[in-house]
Order: sequence, then structure tokens, then C-alpha cells
Amino acid sequence: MNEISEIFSQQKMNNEENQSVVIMDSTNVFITFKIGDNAYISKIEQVKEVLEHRDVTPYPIPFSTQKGIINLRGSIVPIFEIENTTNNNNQENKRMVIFELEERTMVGLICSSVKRIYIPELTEKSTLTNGDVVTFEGEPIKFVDISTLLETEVESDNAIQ
Amino acid sequence: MLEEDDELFGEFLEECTDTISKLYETLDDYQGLEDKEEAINRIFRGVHTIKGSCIMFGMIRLHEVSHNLESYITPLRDSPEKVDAEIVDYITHEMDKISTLLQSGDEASVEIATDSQPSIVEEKVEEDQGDDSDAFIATISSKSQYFGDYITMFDDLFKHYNNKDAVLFELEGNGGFEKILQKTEKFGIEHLNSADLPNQRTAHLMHGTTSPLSREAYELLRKFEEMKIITWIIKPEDVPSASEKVPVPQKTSVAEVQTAAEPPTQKDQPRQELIRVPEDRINQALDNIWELFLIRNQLSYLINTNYKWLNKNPEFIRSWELLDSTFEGNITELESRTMRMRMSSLKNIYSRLSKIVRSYTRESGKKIIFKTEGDKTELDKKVIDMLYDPLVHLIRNSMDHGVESPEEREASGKPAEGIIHVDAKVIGSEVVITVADDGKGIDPKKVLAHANKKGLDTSWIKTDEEAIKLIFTPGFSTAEQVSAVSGRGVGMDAVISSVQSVGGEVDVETNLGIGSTFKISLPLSMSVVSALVMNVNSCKIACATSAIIETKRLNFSELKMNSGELYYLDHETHIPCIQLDKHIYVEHAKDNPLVKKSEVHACMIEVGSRKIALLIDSIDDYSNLVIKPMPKKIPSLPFVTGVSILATGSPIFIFSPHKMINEFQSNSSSGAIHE
Repeated sequence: MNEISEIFSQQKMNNEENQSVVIMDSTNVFITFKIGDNAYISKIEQVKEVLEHRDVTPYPIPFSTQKGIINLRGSIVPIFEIENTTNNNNQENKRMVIFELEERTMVGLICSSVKRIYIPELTEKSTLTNGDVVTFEGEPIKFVDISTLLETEVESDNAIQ
Repeated sequence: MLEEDDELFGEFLEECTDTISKLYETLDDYQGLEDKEEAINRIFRGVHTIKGSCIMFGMIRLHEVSHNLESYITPLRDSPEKVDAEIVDYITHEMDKISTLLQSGDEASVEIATDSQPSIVEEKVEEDQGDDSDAFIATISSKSQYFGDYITMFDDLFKHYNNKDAVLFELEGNGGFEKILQKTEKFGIEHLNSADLPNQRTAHLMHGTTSPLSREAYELLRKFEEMKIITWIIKPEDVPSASEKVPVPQKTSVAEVQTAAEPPTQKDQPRQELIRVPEDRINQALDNIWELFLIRNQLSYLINTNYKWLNKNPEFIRSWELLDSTFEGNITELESRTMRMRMSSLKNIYSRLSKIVRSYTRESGKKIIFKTEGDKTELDKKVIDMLYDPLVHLIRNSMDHGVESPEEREASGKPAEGIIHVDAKVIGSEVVITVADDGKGIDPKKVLAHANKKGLDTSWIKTDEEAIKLIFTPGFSTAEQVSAVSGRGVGMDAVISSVQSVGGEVDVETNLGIGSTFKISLPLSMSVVSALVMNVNSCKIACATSAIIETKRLNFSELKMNSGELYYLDHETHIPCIQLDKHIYVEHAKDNPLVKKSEVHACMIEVGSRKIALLIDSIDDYSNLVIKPMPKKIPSLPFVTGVSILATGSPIFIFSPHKMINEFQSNSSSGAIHE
């Protein structure tokens, strides 16, 4: 978690962070990320770290959303790119968000940009399900559960094969 | 269950598994053993220990089964030489039940009632002892519940207390003597004889000066003395009958618990002290070691990339190289030592297999001699665990389809007994396990006909060898009649897939009328492989050097093109070439395809009996790669067998050329790599 906060503070993107009046706990802290033109929101508990974009070792045979693997301090982590991020103008903000799913399974998601947000209204409503739309700063953002999101991606990818 | 209990239970399980495997060993060798009495007693003790401890964990079914078995064995101990193969099999069968129950945590449904059991005993013992033995057995088995408890109590006490004072104290303090007395009196202690006691243990019951001997205890000891369970070495002073407690005699009273006359069991060979370590800990250590490997690789990469600059100081480079090579050597040694901790020998598997052969020969009427070699060959635990099922399949297959009936064999001029020979050898960095039989061999024509009947694609088959390989196809089974042991059509492809799951290969050689040999080759170490890193379409991919016969640098003019396929002339043979850049990393291809280059590199591999050349852009490096487990959530790539990390820190895929060729063969409808 420290690493995440470091990265975020470097980015100086988060207003809430500066107004350190609100006590945040993991139930109402979320991560939003843009992938291509779409914005997603996800619970922060599953996020292990956010990396600068780096080279991915591609699979010998191409898959549509499964890009390849990276070496994260000795662990091999598969990387997904569910929407194209290469055409995005702002390549500087491009990040890899590493999620830790159950049983120490790690996956990475290539995102056009990432930020951490605090949504006080959501404290009570802990049961967000996949596809729920949350309003944040006047924009609709889609809630995603990473494991289900990636599962459907893996399935469709394997189907292509 | 409490945490403490869990731990205890784990210990209990381990202990039992250990005991059971030793018992299996004894049972297997029973007929060949010199000292049958010792053997049957050893079996008795083992069963008894299990029975005694399982009740602690409320494993009632296990208790009952082991109890029945124990009662069954008890009378056998008087006539160990009468124990024949049938009885051994029965005991083995019951042991199987026990181990099933153990593994399932007392849940498995096994038949506890053993109707067939007494008949065997009566029969055998009758031969020996005549008519009144029936009555004797009946008394023992209906009451041996108490025998058991009582023996357990003693056993446990002696196990836990070296101090004999403590034993006696425990017996008294916890009312142990009273309990024993109650129990022994219930069934009339005169029925006890030395055979019913924990035998071959010579223990000293010593009564110290501090705690007085209770009357009951004294009496029990006396009864034990009468029964010749114990003999006094120094008798305690006469015990006053009226008082509760005995005034302690000045001298120490020592009683020798003298059970069966045999010396202690562990007489044979000096044993090395063993430590049980959870598998996890070894694996964690290995993880660290592999991490060290990677760090070493990266360090040396760092030095190499800065070589120019560092070379200004030759002293530094010299010292560095010395340190680096020592460092690498040490890690390698550390790795192999740690890997050895995970190794065990094939002995257990062999004995389980011979059991299968024995029971098969009894049921089928075929005569089979089962020979094994290389039982000391050590393999990784993971491989050993994996290997059992494939070997069972292969042996059943040989017994069922290979070895003929004695009549058939004699008719064809072979000895009536068929031979199945299992051998395990370490050859280079591989373990080769062969299962050979001298049966009728595999008829390629039958295989082909059968495959056609099953609707398998046989159009590509040109040679007999290829036809025989059809038996590895899923769903293929030549058995005309489905038998209990094989012929369910799941055998051979299951063998091949489980062997391949650990990076091994299965091969078959067969001669009609002479026999078949199945060969399983497995990599010895599954962690560090020497690999060739190659460039294909400007991406890197690695391949174990063991899979490659040789690498060649070819001038493009040496390659001949025919109907879109490339061939390379090697000693008057045209070797088909596969251009890897057309199959993998295609989307990363640069403008300059391989064919347009003047020079290419070729890795020669052997598939079956023919050579194939894999054409690649260039060879990057030879290096020792640490195989990492395949992460979850990655797409299935049939020819990728592992991942690793290069010295540069980037991950790399490791592929199996054989699987890759299979893959492309089945994918390419054009048949680009067919001859």
C-alpha cells in the first residue's frame, strides 16, 4: 500500500489526500483507471501496486487482450490490455496496475491513467457488483470486479484460439 | 478440533503412513524372509500402534478395522511359518483399508465386516493346532478389545517416559493400575499369555524409593510375574495385605518386563537420524535459491554490459571473475543439495506395483515374473507421486495385452512364465524408466484397423512406428473385451499426458511375438535447465539444450525449396525445415523475413526417428535458466513448457520443440512439415 500512496503522491492528482481531514479506510477508497476512453472503478483492496509502464514479453502466439508477461521482482505476472491504449495521446500517464486475486494470483492491467479516489457516499453501500455505475466528479464510471472481468477476457481469448 | 490437536493429528498421520509403508514392505517380502516370527510380530506391532492411537482422534471405523486385523493376526503369531500368500494378501488387503481410512480421515466407505477372515485363520490354525484351537481364538478375539487397551497403555507409557519411576507413578497416579486390573480381571487374566503382550521389548520396571507401591499395583505385578510377563530381578519386600500402601523397601525393586524372547527390532543396521520437515519449508528454501540464481545472472549481466569501462581496472575484473565463479558453483551445489531433500527412491512404488502384479496373476491365471531394477534411483517427490499412475497403467497393459496365457506361450515356444521388467536409470540429466514385457508385442495392423474402426484420422500414417503411436491417442483401446484391469480406453493417453505434465516423454518399441518396451524419460531436475536462448522475429524464446541435437549455421543457398517447403541436405538426406518465424511472434516480424537473409541458424531436433531443422534468426546465448511455475491466468500455449527470467530481468518462454512440431502439424492443413 505504501508504494501505491507514494506513486499517487508523486502524481499529485488527488485532492482528497491534501485535505487530510477525512479518515479513509479501505472500504471507501477506490481506484479509478481509464483504459482507452472508458473509465472504471474498482476496490483498492485487490490492488497490489501500480507500476510505470514497462516492456512486456509477448506470448509466442498473439491473443487479443492477453499481452504477455512481466517479471515483478522474481514473480511472473500476466498482463492484460482490455482496450487499446497505444493511440492515447498521453502516454506519460500509462500505468500497469497489478492486482492480487485470490490464492496469490497476480495479474496486471494496462491502463491509460490511474488515480485513487475517496468516495464517502459509498461507505454504506459496500455491495457493489460488476457493472454498477458510480458517479464521480459528474462522470459515470463503471464498477468492475477484476477477477470476473479477467475471467471473461481469458475465456473469450481462449475461444479465439 | 484445537490447533494443538491438529498438530498432533498431523504427527499421528505421518507416523501411521510411515508404519504402513514399512508394513507393506514386510508383507511384500514375507515369503522370502528368514525370520518369519519377527516379521509377523512386526506387523502385529504396527497394526497395534495404529489401532492404539487412532482412537485418540475418534477414528472409530479405523479403530474397528485395525482391531479386527489385530485379532486376526494374534493367533498367527504362534505359527508364523504357516502364513502363506493367501494370508499375506488378506492382511495386505486390510492394510489397504486402513490406509484408505487414514487418508480420508475415517470417512471412506470401506467394508469393515470381514466375513471371509475367520475361515482363513481357522483353516490355517486347525492344521497346526487341532480342534480345540477354535475355542481359543474365540476367546481372544471377543476380548482382545481389552487386550488392546491394556497393551496400548503400557506401550504409550514406555514410549513417553524413559524414567521408569515415572511410569509407575503414572500408572498409580492416574489410576492406571486400577484400570488395568479392572480390565484384566474382567476377562480373567489367566487367559493371557506372553504372545498377547507387546513383544520383543525388554523393559525395566523400576520402583524407586520415593513412591510407595500400592497394593493393587503390587498384585498386578505379581500376576504379571505369574504370567511370565515380568520377572523380578530384585523382589520387593512382602506386601502387607491389609494396608493400602506398601512401605517402600530400601532396595530398589526392579522388574523386568520380559515379553517375547526376541531381541529388539532395530538391531539390523545403524540408522541415520531422520528429521521430518514440512514440504513447504524446503520449497521456500528452493525459491530463495532460485532467486539467488537470478541475482547472480543479473549481476554478471551488469558487469558484462559495463565491461569496457570496468576493464580499465583489470584487477577488478580478475577478482570479480573468481568470485563470480565460486559464487555460482556454491549456489549450484546448494540447489542440488536442497533438491536432494525432496528426493526419494522408487522402492515404494516398486513394492506397490509388485502387489498389483501378484493380485493380477492370481485372478487371471497368467504366470508373470515381476522383475525390478534400480529401486535405489532417487527422484523428486513430485515426479514419484506423478509416476505411480502411469506405471500402473503400463504394467496392467503389459499384463493384460502383452503377456499371453501360459498355454499360448508354450505353444509359441516361450516359457510359461512371462516376464515384466521395470528398470529405472539415470542417463545424463534424465531418468529413463522402462517397462518391458516378453509378450506378444503390438501388431501395427491391428492398431491401424482398430483406429479406423474408432474413426480416428489415420491418413497421415506411413510407417508401422507411426501406427503403433496411435495407441497414445485419447480414447484408443485395443482390448476386444473390457477387463477389470485395463481396456477402458483411458490408459495410454493418460500415461502420456501425466508424463508430459512434468516435461517427460513416453516412447514405445515393440516386436511382434517378442515383446514391447515402454520408455518414460523424465528430466532429473525440474528447476534449472541448460537452455538455448534464440531470437525469432526479434523476440527471444528458449529451449532446453537436451532437446537439440546440434545447431548449425546455414547459408541460405544450402536450402532447397520444394512446393513451398524448405529442405536442407545433410549427408544425402533432405531434412525438412521449419521456419519458426512463420509460426511464432509473427506479429513482431520485421520487413526482413528469414528466407531473405543470406545466413540462418538451424537447431536440429529429432522427432521419432527423423530429423527436423528449426530455422531461427540467431542464437542469443546459452544459459542456465531457472524454470518458474507457470502463472495462473495465462492462455494455454501447448508447446510452452515453462517460463524463466533472463539475466536482463525480462521473462522468457521455454518451449518444447516436439510439442511445437505436433502443434504445427495438427494446425497446418497445408501439411507444411509432412515429408
